[in-house]
Amino acid sequence: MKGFRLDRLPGLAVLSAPLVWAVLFLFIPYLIIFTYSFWLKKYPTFIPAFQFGNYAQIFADPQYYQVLLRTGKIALMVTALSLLLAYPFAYFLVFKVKSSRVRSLLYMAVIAPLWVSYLLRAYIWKTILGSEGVLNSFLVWTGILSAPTDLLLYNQFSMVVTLTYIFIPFMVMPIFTALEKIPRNLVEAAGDLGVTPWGALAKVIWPLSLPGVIAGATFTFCLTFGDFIAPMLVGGPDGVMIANVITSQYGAALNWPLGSALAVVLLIIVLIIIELSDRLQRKDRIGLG
Amino acid sequence: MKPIIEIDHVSRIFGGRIVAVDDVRLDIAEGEFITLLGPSGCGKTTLLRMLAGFELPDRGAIRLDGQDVTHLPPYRRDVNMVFQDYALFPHLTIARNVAFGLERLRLERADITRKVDETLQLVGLADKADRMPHQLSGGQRQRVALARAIIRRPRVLLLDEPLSALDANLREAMQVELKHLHRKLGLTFVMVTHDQTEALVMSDRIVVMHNGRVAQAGTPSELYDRPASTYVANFVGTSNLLKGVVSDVSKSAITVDHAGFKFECPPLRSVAPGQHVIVGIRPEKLQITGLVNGVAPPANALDCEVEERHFHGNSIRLRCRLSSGEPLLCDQQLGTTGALKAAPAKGERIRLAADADSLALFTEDDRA
Amino acid sequence: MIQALNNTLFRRLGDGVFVTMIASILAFLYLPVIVLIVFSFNDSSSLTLPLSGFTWKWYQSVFANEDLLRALRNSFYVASLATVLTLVIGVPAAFALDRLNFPGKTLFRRLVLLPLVLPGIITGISMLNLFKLMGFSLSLETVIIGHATALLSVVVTQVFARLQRLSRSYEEAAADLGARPWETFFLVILPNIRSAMIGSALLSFTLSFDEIPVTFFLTGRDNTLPMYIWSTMRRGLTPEINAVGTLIIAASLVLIVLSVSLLKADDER
Repeated sequence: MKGFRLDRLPGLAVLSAPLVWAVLFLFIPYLIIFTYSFWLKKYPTFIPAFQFGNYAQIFADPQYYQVLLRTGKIALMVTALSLLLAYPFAYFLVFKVKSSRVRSLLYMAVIAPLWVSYLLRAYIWKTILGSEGVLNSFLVWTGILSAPTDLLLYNQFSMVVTLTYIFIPFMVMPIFTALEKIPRNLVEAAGDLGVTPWGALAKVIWPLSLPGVIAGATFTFCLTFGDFIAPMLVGGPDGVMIANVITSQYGAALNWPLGSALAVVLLIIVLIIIELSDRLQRKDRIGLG
Repeated sequence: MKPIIEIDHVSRIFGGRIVAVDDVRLDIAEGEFITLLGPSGCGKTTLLRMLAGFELPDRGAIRLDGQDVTHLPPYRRDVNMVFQDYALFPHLTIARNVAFGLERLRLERADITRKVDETLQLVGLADKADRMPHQLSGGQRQRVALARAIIRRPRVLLLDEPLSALDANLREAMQVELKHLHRKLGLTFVMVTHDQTEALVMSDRIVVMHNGRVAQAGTPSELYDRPASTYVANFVGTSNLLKGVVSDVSKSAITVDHAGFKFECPPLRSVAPGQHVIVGIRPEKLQITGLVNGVAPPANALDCEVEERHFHGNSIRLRCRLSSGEPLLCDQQLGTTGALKAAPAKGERIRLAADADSLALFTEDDRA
Repeated sequence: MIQALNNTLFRRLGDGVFVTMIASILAFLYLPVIVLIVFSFNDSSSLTLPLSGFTWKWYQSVFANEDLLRALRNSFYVASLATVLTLVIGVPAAFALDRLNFPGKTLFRRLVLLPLVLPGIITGISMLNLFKLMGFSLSLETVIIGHATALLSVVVTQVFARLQRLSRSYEEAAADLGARPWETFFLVILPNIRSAMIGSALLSFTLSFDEIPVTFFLTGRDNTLPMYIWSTMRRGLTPEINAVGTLIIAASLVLIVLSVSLLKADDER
């Protein structure tokens, strides 16, 4: 639209810094990763090439594709557990808590941990679940266990618990927002028409809150999928995730081409999920009119 | 007199397809109160925004006081605007809002303060200077918007539907007030509205717009009494529009037949016998001359049956049907007590007549 | 009658479930935090129950720990500069996205917002590649650029959202009253997006202060606070970390209150 706009010169001035930044620190770096993913490792560094060996290795070597599968599995479990906890919570908050003061206070209570260090939140569970940890010592102290168990930490269970703890606010936020947008009279109308509370939940509230659920699930899944700190802190040998492998390729293994190829795979998976979720949410929105 | 604004064959096309303003030519005289009138989407707002500099014409030129301002940005034009949503800066006090335009001129602080005081006095808001916009009522905000726009004494004041956000009573009061202000300041006012009553009450001249073009420009009474097209006839006031065929053209009258009725219209148009035309009659110009009798109606008289009566307070509207099946509206003033009782009852068959002078004649081409 | 009884019973049961639900989620979220805080005052150097006694000594050792204090200063340096950069780049970017039309706008928007949804590790290694290629040695400054890039999206989304709600007619009114574009920007637009800017700056600061994935790849010999804590943590768990954690939580609380009251101020307008 050619209408009243800033003069061309100020427009350029406004745009130049962000544009240069985006090209230099976003576009080019992504391009470099993409390029490296086709290069060859040659001790001690790597050389330019154009070959698909790194990708072939990822999908042929069980060491790599199994990590991918495991990462997907853990991310799914975290997403499911978060949804299971977050949805009822958000539902009760929106539809059962009468006072709006109490509601926003409880909502803030769930969101607040986001502001508290991510690292601390992972660390806390290490101190709680460890064999020398709070929970074990509590169980031994109270006589429930005779000796500390190491079943609690350094496995997929501890990973799922910790990651759920870290990322659950991202699930609560969009669901809460979606539920709050549902007009009360719609729920009352359902009640008026003889629909039971459970029926209203299934037939009215759940479908209307779906965009929020999708958004929350996308956040939680993607964040978990790319995490490498929690696995390092609370994951054991069977808790290694894709980002950890990338880290080690860039670190000790010194195989940047393979690391880059893994990063490209991770990038593509995340982008596909975001695109899918975008479409689903859009479809839902259209469905609602 | 040299016009203050010349709009010279201006067109504005959105997205290369949608013609918002289509080859408009218009001169606006200094000191005039001119109104651009039309339904939404007729191009009136786009035209106003081009005068302000918010939109650039795709073709044509705009001259302000003889100077070409077509491509001048808004901040270099000596025009100011009252926005439809007022657009008062929410973070500034009323006084600072009003002072904004003067501060851009780098005037002396004391000078600005004095002028702001004067202007707020003028719009009756001297006591609200330190309030924030959201603390004022709609009508008060309207006055602030007005004060802010006139404080620079622009060559032209643009008003974009200035009264549309006000309720009916306030709107009427503000119409009068704006009119007073116009006279007092002697500025040129260009107003956009879709409200025909507002346009009729306030303007020296009205420009009716339709599909991006000027349908007709003229004084309110010209527009009302001599509409150039059926479109104008219907947009400004209400008109009964009856289709007919020209049966005779003479020096003194054009005779039109409509289903056995005869109209003798003033010879203001060139038409030929046999041509299909439309006759326009304002409902209030129809007089009841009596009940239908056996005698054939004379020229400019219509026989019809009253189907409904709508009481309007100072008048009554009769919804009638002609024997040809066409509906016909007729307004009767209720000036005297008992006039309501005297008005024809539902089902009565009455004869209505109009002066030849009050008839408008349109050709099929005028349908726009 | 029985129906009515059933209904009340159902509602009572529902209320019970509801209270339990909320209580258990809050417990899940806050018991660990309480554990963290409690052990920062516990006399024993092992993190086990039962508690052995009250002490301040972990806090004393925190404030005597030169490495930790240096890491803390580094974090302040990084987070402050990164936040300034996100604002300097992010506000014009949001403005351009909302108010300007230019070729490649869609690509620009996607690029700028990508780090919001991408795992930090991608930003980390992609910038590591760039810096290595350009021959930069890693330092706190490379970390700052990395954080600014990753957190740009935070400022852009917040400010963009605010700009979208800001009526265009304010800008038109300003221009109409003689304000040049830069005057319009500083006198009309900026004051109206101020709270969004401060809010996103606070968020940006907090996230930068806390950042690990990008820092992990981009830092040289200097450590930021989270990197320092992390490296100590991998060596072993000490109540000293609990003390640092408690201090961080206290600081976070202040920030939360600050940002909430800012948002409120915005709502009231």
